[in-house]
Amino acid sequence: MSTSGSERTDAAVLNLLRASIAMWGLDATVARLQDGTIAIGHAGGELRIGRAPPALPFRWLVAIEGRQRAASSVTGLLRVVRSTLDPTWRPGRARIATLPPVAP
Amino acid sequence: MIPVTVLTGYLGSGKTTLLARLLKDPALGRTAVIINEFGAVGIDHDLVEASEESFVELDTGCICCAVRGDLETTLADLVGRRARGLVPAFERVIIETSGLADPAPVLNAVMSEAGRGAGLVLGRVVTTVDAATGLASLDREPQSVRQVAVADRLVLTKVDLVGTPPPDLLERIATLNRRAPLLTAVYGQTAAIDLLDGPSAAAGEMYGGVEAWLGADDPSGSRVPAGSNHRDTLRTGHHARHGDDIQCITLRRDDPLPAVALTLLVEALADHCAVGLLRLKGIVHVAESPERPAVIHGVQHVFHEPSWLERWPSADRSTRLVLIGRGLSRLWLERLLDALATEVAEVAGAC
Repeated sequence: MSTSGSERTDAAVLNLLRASIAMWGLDATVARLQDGTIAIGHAGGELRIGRAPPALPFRWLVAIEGRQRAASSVTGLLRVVRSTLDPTWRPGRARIATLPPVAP
Repeated sequence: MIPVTVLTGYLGSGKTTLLARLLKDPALGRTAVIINEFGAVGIDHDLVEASEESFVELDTGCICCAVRGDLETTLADLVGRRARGLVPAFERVIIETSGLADPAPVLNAVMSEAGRGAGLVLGRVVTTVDAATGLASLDREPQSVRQVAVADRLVLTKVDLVGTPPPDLLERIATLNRRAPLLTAVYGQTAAIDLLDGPSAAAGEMYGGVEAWLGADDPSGSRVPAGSNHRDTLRTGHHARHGDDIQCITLRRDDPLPAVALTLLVEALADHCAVGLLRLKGIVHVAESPERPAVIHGVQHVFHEPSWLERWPSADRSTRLVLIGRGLSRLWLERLLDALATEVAEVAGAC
């Protein structure tokens, strides 16, 4: 993975998390730490979001009060973060309705 | 595929009158009609299957209602009977909602049933608005607002009663939905061809004219060249409007979107926006299919898998998404798309 590519992704994820907190109407702060991890502070504590080690089949690890949860994409990461910050929230799983196949 | 047209509109806005008029059109000879959320009906002079539960007679034929539960069950039953030859092979379905109906669950149900391989596809949403009382309904009734906001075709009814449509009403309708062509019906009369989907329409065309949706809300056409600044570029419609609390957000993106990013986008929308998402339509430049754009369509948390147009409908090859709903954040949508595309690009670069 190129450094510039990962830096762009990290910046994009940071921006997305800030916008997400605002859209969800939650009281939390989002900051990038010197080691590159993203910290989300909230009334219940802090989440630390970092890259998963290459050996793991995930892309993101979220440290929550000594526990770790993994996510394989930005979409998964949002799910982990929101469900942690708002225990009452439940994701609305997408239902994909199939059409007769029209191959590209 | 059998298009399912949803006819909605507030109480007394002339839905049934319009429907009765439409069904007199020979072009609609093979149409099954479902009234409200419960009644399954076959209509035309060839299609008479009366039920003892209820029976309504129209000039053009008969409506029979078999109350079988919810709309999905009704649709499945109707399609099943068609397949077994128990009713003539209708070529379209029209659902007339009740005047108080929130249209989103109805569209959701149609798409869910379509997803079970029934050969159905959501067609146009046609909303009637009473020229005389429509403004008051829009001021007073949230459902009326939603019905107008999600329409693909708007029909101003009872124009014969008011002479000239009230400017305030026209302005209000334009605020809520400028995408949908506004037609008028005098004594319930309007051309069926202008309202309904044809049975032989291609999949992409059935999505209520995606181009029309996409064009009306972003007349600027401005964009940033693909790949500029090594970041994916994205524009939002300058005319995203806020009618009542209904939002219409147009997103535009020049860089092709990898297919996996599109999948992740749909998942994220379902996760975080489903409650407020009344409708989503979009034409997507999928990186793996540069010559054939994908058309996506969603209601709440139900999405059709993309259909593929034969070619780009215009010289504009940008991805354009239109989202209508409540509680949406344009900034969040922009950043979500950006993050997904960036992450996918990073992964692809690492392989």
